[in-house]
Amino acid sequence: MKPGRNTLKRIFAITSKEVKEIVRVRLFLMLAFVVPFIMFNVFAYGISLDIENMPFGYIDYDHSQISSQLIEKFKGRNFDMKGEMFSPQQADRLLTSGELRAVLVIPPDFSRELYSGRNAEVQFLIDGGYPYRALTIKGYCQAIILSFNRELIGEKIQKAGVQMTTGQPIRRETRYLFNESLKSSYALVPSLIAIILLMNPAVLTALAIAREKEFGTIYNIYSTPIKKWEFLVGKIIPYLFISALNFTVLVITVKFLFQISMKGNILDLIPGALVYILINVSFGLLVSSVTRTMVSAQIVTVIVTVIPAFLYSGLLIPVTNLEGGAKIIKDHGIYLSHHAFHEDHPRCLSEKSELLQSPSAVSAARPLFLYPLFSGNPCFQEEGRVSHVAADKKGTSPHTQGQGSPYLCHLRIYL
Amino acid sequence: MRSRELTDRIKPPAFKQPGIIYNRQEIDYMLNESKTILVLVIPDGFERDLHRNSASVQVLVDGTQSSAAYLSSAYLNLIIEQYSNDFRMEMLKVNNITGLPSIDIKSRICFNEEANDKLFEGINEFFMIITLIGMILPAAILIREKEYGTIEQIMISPLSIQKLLMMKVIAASIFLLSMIGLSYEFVLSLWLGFRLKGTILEFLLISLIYSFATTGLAFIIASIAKRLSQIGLLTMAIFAPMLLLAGGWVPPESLPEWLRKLTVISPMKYYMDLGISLLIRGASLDLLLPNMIKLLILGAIFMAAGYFLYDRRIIKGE
Repeated sequence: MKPGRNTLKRIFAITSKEVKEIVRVRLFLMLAFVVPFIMFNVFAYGISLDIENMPFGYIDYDHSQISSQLIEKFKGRNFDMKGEMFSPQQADRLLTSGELRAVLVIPPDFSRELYSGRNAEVQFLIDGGYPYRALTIKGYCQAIILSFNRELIGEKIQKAGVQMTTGQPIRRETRYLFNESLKSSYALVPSLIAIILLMNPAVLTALAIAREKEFGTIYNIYSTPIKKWEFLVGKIIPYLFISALNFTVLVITVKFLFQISMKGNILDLIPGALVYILINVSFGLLVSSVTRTMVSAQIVTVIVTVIPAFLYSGLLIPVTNLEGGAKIIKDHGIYLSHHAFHEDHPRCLSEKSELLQSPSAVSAARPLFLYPLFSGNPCFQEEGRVSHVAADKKGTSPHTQGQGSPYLCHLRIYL
Repeated sequence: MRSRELTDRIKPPAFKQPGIIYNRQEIDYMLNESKTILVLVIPDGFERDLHRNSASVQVLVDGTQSSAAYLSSAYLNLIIEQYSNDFRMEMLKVNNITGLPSIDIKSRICFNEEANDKLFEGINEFFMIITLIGMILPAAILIREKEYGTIEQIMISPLSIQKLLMMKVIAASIFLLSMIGLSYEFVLSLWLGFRLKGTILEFLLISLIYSFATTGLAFIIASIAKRLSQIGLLTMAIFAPMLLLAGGWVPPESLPEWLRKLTVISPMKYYMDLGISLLIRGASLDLLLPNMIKLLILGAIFMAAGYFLYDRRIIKGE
């Protein structure tokens, strides 16, 4: 593998061929830039992890003044009080159909117990269909009850005339670091860059080799003196370039459209981003080499990148909850590379960061990057098989063996 | 001692066993390196301040992981508040004030007692994959003809191209539905051991209605895309907003007003509602009927629009 003078020429030839292919279809080019931009905006504006306006209902068996007071507490920004229900069956039906997320049930002896100084009980029925939401709702309800408790105690103390401050014994000061207002968008928007750059480069590159294989133009490549690695490198370069441009556009969008200032140094972010893009483009190339048809290359790439991007990235689900198979993906680099990006990105945007991200990203890059270079082999193995067949039966065109180029199969109508 | 009482309350399952940090620098280190999400700082003289009713603690949260930060700081706040209330009750008892009322909470998470998120995640991923395949497979099939140039051959054959397309699309749907059925039985129920409350037939029924809508979307995608390479990107572009509007991640109630109106046109929203109602909540078909009808109507609109567009652009227009 001695890089000689011709190496660069050959790589350049492949690159320019690929570029011509890309540019020929203007829509592709536009999509490559516009799609990430659209996705970015939709998510950044739409996602918010706060729970608001939750449909809520209650059953009040007590109908006392104090139970009404309690119910009043549940009208506010977080809850959308749908009204009173009159039977457990009705509550059950509304919960099961998903119209209500939570129901407060006040037992008949509620006020009686409270006035005699005993503990009264209320019940919350929470919709368990969406677990995270259920836990958050449970937390909200508990918090409201706790604050109601505090008020009750305060009133009782005052009535008893005891000299005691009614404030909270423990005051809490909560500081959200790196994201002072815990605005969901501050954390989400930079990580969206990482997510989009997980999906886009791979999907763009997915057809690079599959197209050649399916149209049969790869045989032209076989007949040239080009080496495997030169071919692969030449294929990657245009997509790297497009993705790098994407990255720039996204960072500019974050900075100017969303006004999230970058507290770290962008020069620290760029190497990590480049490695990350390289990994994802390599992955697209890997899929492209391994699959036999373009359709399957597309489908596999889309599914295998979109699902981890949304589910395993820690964006929407806390990643400490991953276990088993997802953990394996986590440990084996796809997540690592993304984690490195995700981790360093918000930190870059919020704090001065060292070049920590580079070691972890590079270590993740190593296994993934080597795959396409070795997997280049499957697409070249065809060569061995075909020439073997051609040597056996003279005059037999290699195209009629196995799946041939569709151009030559006139009457095969694919389903 | 009081501070130990408080920290003793921070324990699994909500939290891992808390570690102890001994100096301020280590706090910065732990938070910066993301070794921890929360740091609770209890100042010197906590017990003395408690008795004087002027205690305060500081909670430092790593805000970069928004969802984890939110939940975990809410839990911690609850623990602190509960402790604070209990302390006060204790003090009041000491002062011989008894008989103080308080409300106990009994909460029951219906349908999913342990809030088992594995079930939810698995089903969610299942729906996402169904959606992706349901959109990209028919679209790829439709575009493939054009890309290989065999569409002209079909046009000159006695077979009506409209019928042919319909048959292709039906074949894709049959494939998708049988895969869904197999996954339901073998992967979800048998291998992963989920206890799904709906029956397979009911689930296939809602999936059938859903595949109607996704096929319509596939037609639209196939009519916009000129080449196979664009299918993936377009699918992603349509999938991402649809996922967002679907209410799996963000409850539709929390979306901004203008987005909430748009959720009406996301078929995934109805499918998720239906799917979760059926599989997790165990709803019966009559409860699901309104959503099913809405999905059917949406599917019909998408199919009609998609087919019209595809017909015009690809079959006739080129």
